[in-house]
Amino acid sequence: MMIATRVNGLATIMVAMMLVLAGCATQVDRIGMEEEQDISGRWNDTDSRLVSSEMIEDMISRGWIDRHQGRAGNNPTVIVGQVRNLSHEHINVNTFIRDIERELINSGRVTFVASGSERDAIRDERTDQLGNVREETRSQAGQEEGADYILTGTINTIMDTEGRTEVAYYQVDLALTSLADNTRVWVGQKQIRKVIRRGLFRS
Amino acid sequence: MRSWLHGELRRPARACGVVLLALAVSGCASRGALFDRVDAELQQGRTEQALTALEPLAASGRNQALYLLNRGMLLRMAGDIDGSIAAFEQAKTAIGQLQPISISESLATWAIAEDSGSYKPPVHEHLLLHAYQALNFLQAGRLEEARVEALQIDLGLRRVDPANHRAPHGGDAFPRYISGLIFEANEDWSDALIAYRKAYESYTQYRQPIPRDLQYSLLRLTDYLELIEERNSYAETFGIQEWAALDTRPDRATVVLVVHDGFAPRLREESVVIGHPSENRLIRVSLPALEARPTRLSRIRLVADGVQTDGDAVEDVSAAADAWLSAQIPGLLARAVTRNVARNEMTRRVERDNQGLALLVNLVGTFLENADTRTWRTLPDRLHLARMQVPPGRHVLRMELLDNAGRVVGGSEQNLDLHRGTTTVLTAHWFGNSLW
Repeated sequence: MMIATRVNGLATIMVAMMLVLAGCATQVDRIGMEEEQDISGRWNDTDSRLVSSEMIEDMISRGWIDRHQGRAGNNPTVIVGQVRNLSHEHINVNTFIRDIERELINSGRVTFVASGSERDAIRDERTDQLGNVREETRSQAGQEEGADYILTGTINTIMDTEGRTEVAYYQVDLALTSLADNTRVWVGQKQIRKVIRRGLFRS
Repeated sequence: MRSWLHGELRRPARACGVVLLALAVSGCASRGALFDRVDAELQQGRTEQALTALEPLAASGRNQALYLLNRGMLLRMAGDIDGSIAAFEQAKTAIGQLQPISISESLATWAIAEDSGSYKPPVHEHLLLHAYQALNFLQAGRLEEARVEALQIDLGLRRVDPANHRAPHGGDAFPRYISGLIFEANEDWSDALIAYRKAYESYTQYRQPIPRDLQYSLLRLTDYLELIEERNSYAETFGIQEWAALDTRPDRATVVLVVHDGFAPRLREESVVIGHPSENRLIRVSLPALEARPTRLSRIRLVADGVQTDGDAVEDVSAAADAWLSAQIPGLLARAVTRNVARNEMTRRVERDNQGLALLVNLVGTFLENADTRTWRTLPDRLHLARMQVPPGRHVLRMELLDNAGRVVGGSEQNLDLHRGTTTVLTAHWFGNSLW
């Protein structure tokens, strides 16, 4: 009887320890890309996707595409230029640019060409093909498509703080400029407002 | 019977007290010894060994912010700018997580010991974290990200002091000054002027000399922005009649020399242990005291192509730490008294049932009563800065360190390729007898 009690006691302690250890273990949950996870209140992947999607949707629905097609007889060719981070956060502008590029390509209404740094890598590869690749499969130099328009922009923030509450106001401005004559053919703006309430206590 | 017991207890109490206090001192000393090792390695220019010496601190959850701040600085000194940027970003996250109050830690600091809570850097250290991160980004040629740090400095000061945007005990002048420099490099002229203006106000408030480069920057920008009255007022205050106009299309390269002068002050513990006047107990009060470690360095000089620019002290870390500590003392004293009262009361209660245990409670409490001597030790005692503009191309840049008498006490030369419109940051470390 006494031994049984001891065994029960030990089992209880072991189960309790396992539960405690399980609680300490790192837990990883996979979540859908569309699911919002705003942990810190800072600019995140959801903001990047939403802003790029809405702004590009607005851009390709405007009249400049029809005007270009009427004039040139083909889809406009667009390159993404510099997007400056003027906000108070270290925002990975590259992921935002990638989101814009994806939206542009998937729209099917514009032709998209690679940006400066990527072009250099492609040209290096093309040069490398010269002595190493069968002629019939070799890509020729001087066949690149030039862009008609360049997309540039800025990400700005305004912060307002009162006690433990902060309002972060993000403003993304994008502009599409004709490379031929510097005329602005489209200007878009998207704002996001986030209210961050910081807890008074931590564990 | 009681008096006998007391009489018998008195001797072991004293003996145990001496042993435990020795242990307490050695416990505090272990963290101090770790930083002494780091200091010794740095003095020899051995940054890798300094990083190794710091590593035991990584395991301490309470000291994560302290570890990351020091690690970021040591990586920067080792020339690993990307590593330093990563460590400083981690430090920011760790500090951010400490902003809400921890009830358990607060209770522990009131009831057990001052250093039982997590290390939260004071405002002047927090500002320097952003300033050093800004220097990291400048050094890496990432101007836009340096600008983010300048904005974070401003945001941090607005959080600390919503009315005046100032640091409560000083230490905001240099972060504002470096912000102005970054805005200027980004050609944000009005933001640059605002930052320089705030730096000037802070230097003035804390009666620190206004760096000459800041004086000329204020004149150049007020002149360019046509703020005539303000410009004339600066010209009169600084006694400057001539200055170069602001070049809004810079065809020159900018060099910024930053010299870390000495080591940041260390905090050492000062304790008073006395016997309770009427009962057989020990009372111990421990407070931190500042120990500055200045060098003889007075100013710096940057020479290129026969043209020289003098640089000044732009940040006095010891002065900011001193002002911060002076403001902390009443609170630290109040908590020390509360801890002693609580321990005394607990000992009194335990004493009714078990005098031996009461003795133990009193001694353990006395043993735990430590001052919080944690501070960002790899900061310098002072920072000196010189800025000059040169034509793009290859230059031999000479740096000279001067003492109070104007004698050159250290120097070095560097060959550099400087590009048009860029800002190059050079960093040197001076520890009184070694320069690297």
